Formats: sequence, C-alpha cells, structure tokens
Amino acid sequence: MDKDYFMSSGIIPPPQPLHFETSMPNPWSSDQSFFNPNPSIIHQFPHFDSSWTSIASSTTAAALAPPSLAADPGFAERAAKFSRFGSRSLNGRTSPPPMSRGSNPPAAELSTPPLKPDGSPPPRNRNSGENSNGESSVSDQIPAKMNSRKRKAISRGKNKDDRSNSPKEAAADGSSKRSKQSENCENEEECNKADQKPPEPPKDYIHVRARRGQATDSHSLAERVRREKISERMKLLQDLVPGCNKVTGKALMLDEIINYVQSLQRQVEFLSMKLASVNPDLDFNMESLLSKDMYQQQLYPLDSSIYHNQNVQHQHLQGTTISSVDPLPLDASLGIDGFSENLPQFPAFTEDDLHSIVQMGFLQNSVQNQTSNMKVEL
Amino acid sequence: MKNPNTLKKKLASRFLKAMKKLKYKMSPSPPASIAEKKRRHRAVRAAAYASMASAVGPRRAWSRALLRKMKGRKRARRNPGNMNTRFGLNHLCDIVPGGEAMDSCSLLNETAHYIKCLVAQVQIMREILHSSSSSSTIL
Repeated sequence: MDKDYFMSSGIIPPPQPLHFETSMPNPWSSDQSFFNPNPSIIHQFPHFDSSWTSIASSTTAAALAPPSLAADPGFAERAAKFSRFGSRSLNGRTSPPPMSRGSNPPAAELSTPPLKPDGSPPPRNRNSGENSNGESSVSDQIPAKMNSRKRKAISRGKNKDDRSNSPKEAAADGSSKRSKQSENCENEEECNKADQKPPEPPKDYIHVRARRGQATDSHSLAERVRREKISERMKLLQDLVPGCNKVTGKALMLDEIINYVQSLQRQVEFLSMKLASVNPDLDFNMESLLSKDMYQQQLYPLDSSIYHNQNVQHQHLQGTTISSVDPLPLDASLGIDGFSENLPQFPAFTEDDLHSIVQMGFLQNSVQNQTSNMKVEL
Repeated sequence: MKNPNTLKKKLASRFLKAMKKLKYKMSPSPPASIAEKKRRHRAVRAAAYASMASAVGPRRAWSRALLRKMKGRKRARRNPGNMNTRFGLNHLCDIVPGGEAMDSCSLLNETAHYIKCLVAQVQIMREILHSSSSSSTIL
C-alpha cells in the first residue's frame, strides 16, 4: 500500500529493507529533493514513515554488524539522516492518515533509539553529515527534539533491541509496554540529563525490565536485581573453583566453594609448616626463584596434584616432625573434635585426602594440628 | 580482574622478603623444642598471610581485614542488616577474612579474589619448597 502512495506522488520508492542491506543503492544522496524542506514533500512523508523506520531500523540493525557496512562509509550518516526524517515528519505532520497513526508514533521513536545504543558516534555522524550537506536550517531544528525524544525512548529502544525491530510488533506491544516503561522513563530522565554518559551506570539503574507475569513494584525489582547480581558472582566463582561445573544449585555450589577455600587454607598451613622446618637451610636467592616461577606453569591442576604432592612431602617430613607430633595430646584432642565436626561437610574429593593421610599414618595428627591451630588463631 | 602473572610476581617478591627477614631470626640449627617449632610454623604462616594481604593492598575488604588483624586493631564489625543468612553464606563469612561486615554480593566478590590470591600463594610456597629441595637435600 505504501508503494501505491509512492507511485501516485511520483517519488522514487525506497528499496525494500532486504534489498537495502545487500546492495547499497544511492537514491537518497543523489536526490536532493528529499532534503528540501518543502511542505508538500513533508506531507508525503507520512507514507514513508513505516517504510523509512523499517529501513532505518534494519539499517541500524545492519549498522550493528560493521563489517558488512565497511564498504559504505557514509552509510551511518545516511541512516542517521533517514531516522531523522522519520521523526521530523512526525513533528511536521498535522493530520496523519488513520492507518499510520497507531503504528507511527512508536515506530518513529523506534527509529531513533536503535541508533542510540551505538553511543556517541551516531549523533556525531548526524551532526557532521548535516554540516557537510549544509542543511543547517533543517538540521538545527531536529537535534534538539531528537535528543529529548531519543533519551526518553532509550529504554524502549534498548529493550526493543532484544526483540526484532519491526514496527508492527511495536504497535501491538506498545500499549502493554508503555505502562511498564513509564516507570523506567521516569528513572531515565534523571540520569539522562547528564550529557553523553557512559551506558554503564544508567544501565544498572534503569534496565530492570519487568517481565511479563512478574510483579512490577520497586521492591521486587530491586530484589530481582540483587538476585541476578548474586547469580552472576556465583558463575564467576564456578569458573574459579575446579570441579564445580557439574554441581548445580546455590547451596551445593556454596558448599564446594567453602570446602575449596578451606582446603587452600589448609595447604597454606601445611606448606608454612614445611617451610618453617626447612627455612634455615634455604637461601632466598630471589632472582633465581622468581625466574623459576615465571617458567613454570601458571595454574596447576589443583585437584589431584595437591594430594600427590602432599604425599610426597609427607615422606620427607616423616623423620623430622614425627617427634613433634606425638607428645601433643591437648592439641590432638582439640584437633579431633574440630576434625570430626568438619568431616560431614566435606564432599567426596577430600576423602581421597583422608585416605592418603591414613595411609601415610602420621598426617592425621599434623592435619589435626593444623586445623586446631586454624581454629584457635585464624 | 588481576592478571595472574603480575599477581604472582607481587606475592612472590613480598613473601620472599618476609621469609628472608624471618630467616635471620631463626636459629640455624633445627629447633629442639616443640614450642619452638610451633612458633616458627606460626611465624611462617603469619608471614604468608601478611605478605598476601600487603601485596593486595587496602583495595580489597579481605586484605584490609587481614591487615587489621595483623596490626592487632579491633575488627571493624559493621554489619549492614546482615543479609548473609538468607543465602546460606554463614560459613563463608567465617572463612573469608572480614566476611561478617559485608553483604552477600560483595562477599562473593571478595571470595573470588581471595581464592585467586590463595591459589597464587600456595603455588609460590610450593615452588620455593621444590626449588630448595632440588638444590639441597632436606634434612
């Protein structure tokens, strides 16, 4: 139907969005009539709106994948201009045709926000494009309105980026979304008074989008944000702790993490004990040690090698520390209590540790000493 | 976050300095009494944690808490509403230094960084032991 309008008015119809992305015809830059602020042409713009915005949205969608557009450097400028024209026609329009009224306001606003996620370049492009074309009269009116409109529509735009950018969907969902977006917009305008802010701080504050079927009051929104942050952190921790990929659920994950930290602390204890016994014999030649550190592998596989190393080191220590271990009944009793408390918490992987300990036959006491020391002093 | 290589270098240099200091205090002969051994052991462990905390600096809450403990000041127990119990983070806040005075989100952050540093520290200590054992026979 839009094409009929075009044919009757005698203006070249813009190419379809699909064709637009693949081949870059240049009717716009060559055809100066488009930039003419002639009211007759402006009245014809309403027909363009839906198609322009679809094109603009598709161009911006394409603009988000820069490699394909690298061939056309002026493309972003042109895309910016066209979105501008979409909104400008909205401003200049007095009596929109009934078919386009419902779809156009959200559609026109849709055209501008998809540019906004690109950050500052589109406004700059727009300004440079305008100056280069010398269309100051047209361009000056627009940026002021554009900025306010863009900033209001940022949340809608960014939320729409997740979905398809077709304006028809906007018409259907616009009514349902506006109630939810209104509170986002109210929050936004405070943040967007600051000019060209980096998207990060407003992002945390704003883009708490209430999903369908969920409560939209501020308390539950804030709680949801907290929960999402916490789950994010848990994912990070999952990468750090070895062997956590199989475990799902927060409680089990937390148990794994706690056990891992405890085992690391135990290792520090154990290694410090060894170092204490060896220390006078060591000469801390820093350069040689540091160079050795650099050559060696960064992250040992900490699961199995830990316990193997401990076994090896136990043999070395047996001669020296076994005398220190026996006459310590007090510490041993404390350690036993502490150890038995800890045992139920430990998952399977520390049982290997315990088995190796039992095999060696003397580490029981030393580990208990370590744990008792840990409890007393740490 | 921190590049593991730079972190390890920092930790290693600090720890080695601390161990050098300790070495002069220790008697060259192996200690006879058990108390002496325990004292040495505690000293090395304290050196390990102290060097870890000072290498990280006051940027992290756990390092600040550790440094406070080393200096013997009172713990800064500022408990903001204690949201830990909701997610079962009771044990974690006991284990991570300075864990009580944090909310759940930052506690998990601190835990992640603490784990990284602990891993690096353990590696350093083990490498020192390996290098010393390779160079000289152990006792």
